[in-house]
Amino acid sequence: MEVLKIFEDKFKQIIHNNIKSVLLENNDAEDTHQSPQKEGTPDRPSSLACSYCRTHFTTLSEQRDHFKLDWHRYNLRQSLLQKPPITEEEFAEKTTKDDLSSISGSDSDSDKEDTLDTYATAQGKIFLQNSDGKVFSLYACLLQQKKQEDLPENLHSRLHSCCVTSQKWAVLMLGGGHFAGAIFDKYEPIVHKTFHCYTVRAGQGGAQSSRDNKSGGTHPKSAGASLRRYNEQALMQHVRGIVEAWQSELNGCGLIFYRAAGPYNRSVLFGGGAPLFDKEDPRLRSVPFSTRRATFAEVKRVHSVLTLAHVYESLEAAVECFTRHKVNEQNTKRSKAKTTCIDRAKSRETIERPLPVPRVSESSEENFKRPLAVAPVSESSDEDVDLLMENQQIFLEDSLQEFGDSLTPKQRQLKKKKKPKKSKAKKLQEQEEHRKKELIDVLSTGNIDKLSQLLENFLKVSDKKEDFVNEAIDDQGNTLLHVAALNEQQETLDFLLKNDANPCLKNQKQQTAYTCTQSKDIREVLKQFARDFPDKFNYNKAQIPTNVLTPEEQNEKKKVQRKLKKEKEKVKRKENEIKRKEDLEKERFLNLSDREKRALAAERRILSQAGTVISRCFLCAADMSGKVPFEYLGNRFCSVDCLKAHRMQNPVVLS
Amino acid sequence: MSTEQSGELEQTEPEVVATRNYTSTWEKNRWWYIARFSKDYKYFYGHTGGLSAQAFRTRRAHDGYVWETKRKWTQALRTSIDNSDDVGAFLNLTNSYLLVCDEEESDNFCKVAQDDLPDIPVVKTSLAGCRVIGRMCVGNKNGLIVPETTSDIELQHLKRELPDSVEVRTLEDRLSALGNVIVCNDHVALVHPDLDKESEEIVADTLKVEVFRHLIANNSLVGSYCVMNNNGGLVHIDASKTELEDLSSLLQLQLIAGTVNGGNKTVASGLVANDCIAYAGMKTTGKEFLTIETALHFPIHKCS
Repeated sequence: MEVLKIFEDKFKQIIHNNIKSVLLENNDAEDTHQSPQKEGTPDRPSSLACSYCRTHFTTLSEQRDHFKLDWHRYNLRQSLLQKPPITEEEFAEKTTKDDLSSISGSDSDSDKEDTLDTYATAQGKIFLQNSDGKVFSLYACLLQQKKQEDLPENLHSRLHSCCVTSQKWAVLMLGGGHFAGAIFDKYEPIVHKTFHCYTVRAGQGGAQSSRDNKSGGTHPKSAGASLRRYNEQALMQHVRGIVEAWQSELNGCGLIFYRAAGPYNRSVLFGGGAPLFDKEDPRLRSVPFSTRRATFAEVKRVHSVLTLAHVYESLEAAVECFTRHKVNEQNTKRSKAKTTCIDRAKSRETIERPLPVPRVSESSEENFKRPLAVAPVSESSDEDVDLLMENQQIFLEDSLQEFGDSLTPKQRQLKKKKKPKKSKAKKLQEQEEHRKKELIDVLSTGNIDKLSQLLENFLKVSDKKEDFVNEAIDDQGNTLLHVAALNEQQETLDFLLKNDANPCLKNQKQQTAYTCTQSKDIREVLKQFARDFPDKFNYNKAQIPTNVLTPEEQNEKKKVQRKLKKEKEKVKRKENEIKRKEDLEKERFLNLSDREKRALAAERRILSQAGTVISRCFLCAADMSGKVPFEYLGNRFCSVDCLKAHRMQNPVVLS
Repeated sequence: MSTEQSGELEQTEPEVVATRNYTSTWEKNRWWYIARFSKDYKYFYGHTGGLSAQAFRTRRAHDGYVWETKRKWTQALRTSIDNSDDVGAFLNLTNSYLLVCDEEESDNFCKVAQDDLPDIPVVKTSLAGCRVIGRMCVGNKNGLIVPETTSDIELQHLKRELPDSVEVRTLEDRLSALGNVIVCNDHVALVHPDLDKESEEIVADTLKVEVFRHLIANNSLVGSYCVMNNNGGLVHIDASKTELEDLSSLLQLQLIAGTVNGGNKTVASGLVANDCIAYAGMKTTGKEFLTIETALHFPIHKCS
């Protein structure tokens, strides 16, 4: 393989004579293959045939059987791939070799698009061959515009024109507010210009105009937005200015390459009332590969890449080289893609593993032939072997000497003793723990003498009494006070308090000495201390209630309360008695019949009236008090007779 | 008064969608005469005498004048479903049932179809919530194969509505548009060459057919490119003569290449057929109709 610049003389020699385009694969297929429909043999013996496999049959059943063969299926697939069918022998060979999977019928789409030619077109390359058989590849865009799918007829003249006659090319790149343009004559840039405008929205990306054009979105009014809008206009103006300044040069250019991704960038070149370039201009080509930011260096790189041509000695060499290139690229891609998805529709490849070999091989069987405990009958019946027994003592001492024990018991003991040596820190820690334990013992037993002795001992070492009494001595963060309180040692507690123990300290449960215990006596001690030395500590913090009364005061208070209570009870008892009497009365009254009640009421009335007659009969005016009157129309009478008589005298007029 | 009423009745009548093509000059003249006559009749008498203009415009073969007696002859009819000519997508017609897509717009068609096919059940259903049931399932007199995605409700509905002789099976395959990859009559079936072996067996067992893998016109979607009944079949127009001969000898059927819907090459999209009736899209031309009738061996209809 040779890399040439297309303006070199050497390359001119290559393209001197006739040139045709070649395909890397399917080359022969192109020539030989005819689609099965066209083929049709004119002198067919009968209609019993398979045109896809190009076979004939004598009977119908034969034909029907054929259509169920894998060979037939394979040929159908070949036909779909525009390849010639294979004969039965070829197929048999193929299946014995390897790829049954290719007929299984699931992976039809994968291999179809994987040819080298499709890869080449994806790369934008074209492979050409001259009459000497040399193959060379260059970017297809040099010869044709992208829209033209089929290659132009006048390949040679085109190539000649782009490589020999007009060596002046222009490259313009636009993107992200950057502009870079240059006009090259052969390899040298004649004119070039780059500049940058702030048009791309920082953070979000995308041009301001595309953001504005988005339907439904807001139209930002920020300073940045208007700045970008202004800059977009400015960029357009600027590019226009540049291109117009270069107009004479551009007119002489054979090819104009441009890179303008996105609607905005394209509108700079092709938009507006009088577009800078005509879209239909045959010289215009877009850059067929990805580029970096538009800078002068990048423009130069693009130009140099476009002018490269790879020359191969023959078609095979080209195929080989290109395949390697392709495989390299795919490997990098595939490593990622392969793991992500499993095609479950595909039947999985069967991995051929060796069959499990019986564990005991023949040779070993011979060596250790012996009657098995499980099945002794069969073995012994087959062959009667005399079993010999032989005792042999084997002395291994010589051979195993290096593994022997070389130490004497004394040495070993010494070794053992050395082992439990402790570090100094550990020792100290242990001492400390021991001391604490002792202290806790002392506190829980309430041994004040011992405690004071310990305190004195401590004071000999250091001045600070607080350090001793306020120390947390167990793993729950309890201080001496806590321990004493928990063990209900009043004297110890008192002693500690007098020796400046701080009752505000809390243990890990956030309890002070006061709250850690439920005992009243201990709490009383603490309260008393708080009362005696009201300014020594912050008793709020210690959660000791300070404003409570002394026991005497409390007693007095209680007495008063009791007195009050007694009085209250007395009053209540009295009230209760009255109530009960009332209730009794009520009950008695309720037990009376209505008549009695009425009589009672009348009696009372009479009694209250004391002699005066309250009611008289309307007719005979006899005294009726104490009697139940007979009544009609509100008139009362002493007897029914009186009532009757009265009614007879004053008949009721009904109307 | 009475005319008004009849007019109202005509308006409420569902719009008739299937039409009779005319296959001969004689018949065309006949139709023209009837239409003409009705016009004059209406001109003189103010009403159409029981025949609406609508009924004339969409000429039903078995109503009215010529269609006094309801006869059962084999026939191909033009129709459309939901204003679409691709009737093959929405219908699955076999000798023992007709499946219609479950749409409100297909109600009209259902009525018409039940009229045309009084002997077989017309079942409205969807498959996996889709209405393109013609492309998703395949069936014949003996069975029906539906894709694996069909919901249980739909399956139950199908089993309830279809005759007991029809076996309903689901088929799980990568190629799930069964209507596109399988084409069958009551005896043979052509399938896509990439269909699984197990699927092939299921097809053979359920539909009680002999299964062949083949291409039609160098394309593997045999179900889209071929429509057949027990008498014959219509295949893609691009199929060569030799291929047609091969297929004919293989299937023991007479096959003819043709188009539907005014040049649509995917014949199954615009045509469904069983042994006695075929529905084609509205756009199908008279010549195409002639091809269809010849291919499917419907005798050319003669008015008595």
